[in-house]
Amino acid sequence: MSDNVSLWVYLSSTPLLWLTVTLAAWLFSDWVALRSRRNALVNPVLICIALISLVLLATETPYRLYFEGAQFVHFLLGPAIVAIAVPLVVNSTIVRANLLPLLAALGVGSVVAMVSVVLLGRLFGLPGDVLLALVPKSVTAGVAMGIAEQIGGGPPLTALMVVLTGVTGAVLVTPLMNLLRIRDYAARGFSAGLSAHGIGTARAFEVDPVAGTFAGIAMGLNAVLTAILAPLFVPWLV
Amino acid sequence: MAADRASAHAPATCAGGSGADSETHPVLPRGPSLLGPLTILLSCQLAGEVLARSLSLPIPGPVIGLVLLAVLLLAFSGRPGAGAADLTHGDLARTAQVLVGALGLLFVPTGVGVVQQLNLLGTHAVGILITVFASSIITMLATVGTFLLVKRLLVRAP
Repeated sequence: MSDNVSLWVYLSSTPLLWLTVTLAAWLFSDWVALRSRRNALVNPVLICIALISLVLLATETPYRLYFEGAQFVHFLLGPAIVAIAVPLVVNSTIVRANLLPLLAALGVGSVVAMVSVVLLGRLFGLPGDVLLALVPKSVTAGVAMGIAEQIGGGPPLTALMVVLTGVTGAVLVTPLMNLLRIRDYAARGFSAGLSAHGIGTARAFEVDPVAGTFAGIAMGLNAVLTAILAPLFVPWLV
Repeated sequence: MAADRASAHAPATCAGGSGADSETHPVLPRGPSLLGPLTILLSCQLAGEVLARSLSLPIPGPVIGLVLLAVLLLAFSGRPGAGAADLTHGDLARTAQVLVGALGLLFVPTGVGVVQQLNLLGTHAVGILITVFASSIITMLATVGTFLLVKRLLVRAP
């Protein structure tokens, strides 16, 4: 009995356990998503986050300890974003052909993302600090937290809004586009990446490589544009 | 601490790898190279981070790295002998496929951290969820609508 306890104490404090748990939970979640034929509602990111959160809760593991293992996965985010250059170059002809629509959609989408969330938030009586945290919600987490800091929103609350927005967009984009009978995967992917940043981009790559490429472009460009626009917009928005 | 343990094992595993005995012992078939592509990706990211910080650009380092790599790839794919096959079947392409294919996994650590802070939603949880839901739909509609509208206008214009 006490042997089991000391084994657990050892295992739970090594990065090995939580890295392995993260990868295993992902393989399971991705398998479930594949079995559902990539049904939009069966989102592997959401399933995986829920599974691991339950395990942490059941074992009373603090997040800091979990992250010591998960950081190796987290670290790969940077190189993975760089790696989007490969599908970008493979699809460079179609990207060039859609350059003007893409830039126009970026401008409109970026502004609508910020303005709509503030107006809706006011409508539902959300306090000012929550509104500020919501402004960069469509931007990938690292950049969004930087923007939040600049405009006076709380970075932890912003991270929460970013992930909520990402999962929401990843789940909604396919049914929404199918409902509207939009078959242009460049346009579909671009709107997924613009609204739902990396988690939307991950979904877009599940559906179609062209959609994924355009989602990746939207994620990158919207991070830049929101970082420039948010400090200008905020004074008269919130 | 973990690194100490790993390095203690390293010499033993490396010693067997020198291909001197390859005729008497079957060796593992040579697989695609992982280290080369990973070094290319990390170098681009590193260059991106250095550029972003030294010029204090509002652009995330990995996004600059993405642009750098795309420019390099375009420059190389234009040269004779380095065709499109490298981009779809080369080692870099395979590594990129693995990383981009598992993009969702890479957001899991952040996502788990966020779940721990769900209490930040407080009394406004319902309002926030509806706001995020509705704003996401409006944003996606505005984006896809603009994209398709401009595309259609461009087809008609010339």
